[in-house]
Amino acid sequence: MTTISPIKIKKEIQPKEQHDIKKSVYLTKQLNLWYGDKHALKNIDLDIKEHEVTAIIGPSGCGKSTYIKTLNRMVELVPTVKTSGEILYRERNIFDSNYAVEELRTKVGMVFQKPNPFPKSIYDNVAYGPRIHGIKNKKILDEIVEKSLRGAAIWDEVKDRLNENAYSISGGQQQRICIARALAIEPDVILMDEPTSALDPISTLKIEELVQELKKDYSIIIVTHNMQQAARISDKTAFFLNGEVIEYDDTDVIFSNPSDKRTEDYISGRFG
Amino acid sequence: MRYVDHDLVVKRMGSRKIVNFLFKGLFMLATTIALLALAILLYRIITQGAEISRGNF
Amino acid sequence: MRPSVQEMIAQSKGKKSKKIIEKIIPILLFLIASVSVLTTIGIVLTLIVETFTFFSRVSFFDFITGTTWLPFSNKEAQYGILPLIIGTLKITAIAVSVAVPIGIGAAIYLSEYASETVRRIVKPVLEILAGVPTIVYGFFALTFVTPVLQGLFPEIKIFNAISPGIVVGIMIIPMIASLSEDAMSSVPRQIRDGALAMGSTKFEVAIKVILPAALSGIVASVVLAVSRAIGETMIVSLAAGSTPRFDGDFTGSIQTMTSYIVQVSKGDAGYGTTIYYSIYAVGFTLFIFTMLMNILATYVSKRFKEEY
Repeated sequence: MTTISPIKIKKEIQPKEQHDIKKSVYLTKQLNLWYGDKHALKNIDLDIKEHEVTAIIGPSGCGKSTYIKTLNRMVELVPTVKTSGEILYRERNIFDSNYAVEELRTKVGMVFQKPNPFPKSIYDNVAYGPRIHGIKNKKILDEIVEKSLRGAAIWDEVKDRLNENAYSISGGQQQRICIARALAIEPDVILMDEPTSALDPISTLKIEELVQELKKDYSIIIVTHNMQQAARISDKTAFFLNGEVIEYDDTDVIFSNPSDKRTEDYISGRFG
Repeated sequence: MRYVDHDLVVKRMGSRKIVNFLFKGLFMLATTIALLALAILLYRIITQGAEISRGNF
Repeated sequence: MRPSVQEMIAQSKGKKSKKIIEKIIPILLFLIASVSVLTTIGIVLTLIVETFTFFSRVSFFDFITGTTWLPFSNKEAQYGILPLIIGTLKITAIAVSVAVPIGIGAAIYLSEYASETVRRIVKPVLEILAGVPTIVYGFFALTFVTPVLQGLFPEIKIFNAISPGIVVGIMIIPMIASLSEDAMSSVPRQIRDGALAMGSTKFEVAIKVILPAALSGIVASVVLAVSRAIGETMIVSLAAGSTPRFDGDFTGSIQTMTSYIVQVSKGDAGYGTTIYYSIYAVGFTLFIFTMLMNILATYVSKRFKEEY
């Protein structure tokens, strides 16, 4: 694992400051993105730390969803997309021509707006990732499935119905299956693109609690249109407006003492 | 404990991409064959039709 | 003062002309619908009645187990349908082995790999294939495919099973490709995105996620195409010959159920002769085959329907 070794060295040099200086998972430098002629992301600079929940907020069309989809290059599924600048994931530029998207995406899991399990059994949904990455042993798969479902706090609800179709359970449960599916490949980062926007309040609460749990083992980047949610669950918050990062700081600071007038206007509900 | 060996994942990436590439070629070939069959058929209809009409008039 | 909306609604409801129309239209539509149902019943009834007449002369058991089809014999005519069924199966087998890989391959390419522009152009172009009259395909088989095949394999005769089989295959490609493509592209995009975001290659998405999800539609398209191949008439009449045979030879002249019916219809088998009735018995057998296929298609598309 050549990409990690420089970080390890750093860790040995500054063991005491480790708590203060967390390592970056994603370092975005001067990122620009166009959909055809539309300039959707403008000169984004963001330093996202590991083992934190980073929330991205902003009004509709501000580019927050586009940004999170750029982090695992899903945005490139839109044929007219052009990008410039760099995104360093663990110090490696994800736009490098020799960095396979498939490799990046095994390190970076994603949870989508609408629950999107595969039309397969719950078991096969969770085992999908490990299977495509070459794990065939039934016993190991069983263990991964259980561990992932426990990790997504849904094991107790589905352990007796692992062979049922994933669409036979409720939307909130489906979303947690999707989280379990992402956990099954043991990613480093989990991207969440408005994961609760299609869910009822109780399911939303469960997902929020889960995010707090997952933070221990994963770095989480979550896009949300719900400011209370960002305030409740995130450590850092980035405020996007018209494709620009207006402000990026500790969540407490953003919500109690924002330095930019536009951030203040947005969080106080004056627009958006 | 970790089950997924990311080094192995990276190692397998090459062969998976080759399989993807090969099958893309195969699926493309299937489409081309179908289009080719149509092209030959239309070509035959037009040339033979032209030949016959020349003979008649 | 203007009457209230409620009053106007009440007034218009009370109008007589409207009431009559409300009653007549359904009756009219029912009559139109019955025409098609009655026609179908009529056809099936004729088929059954004439088939019964045939079986009053020829033993049913001999018909379905006999391995010799010799209706035009001067001495003793034999009506064992198996050679005709074998002929039909030969054509169908070749057609399916041509059309299934190409059709499904093209469907996967168009739905999973091709850009929107390519798909928008190629799909309708492929569907032209389905619109070519079958007689044209028949001539194509006889005057182009057969000579080409003979150039490659000299043992192939002018009438054979391979050439029309391939051409029937070409004819049903668009049916498989188009219906399968519809089935695959109707799998929601979010599911595709979910699989891609896990680090799947496009091939893995297509084979492990989309294909199983669209399986009912794909299998149904294949079954419908098979049913079309079984019933195909012009191509085999022109290019397959008219030699009923109970063997595994593909290179020489064969006869299918459909081409036998054409042969008798073209000739002058007198009304009331056993030969005349035999085409109904063969037609009925053919009908059973295609009907089973259609039932199978309906069953498959219900049984394997994935919910998403």
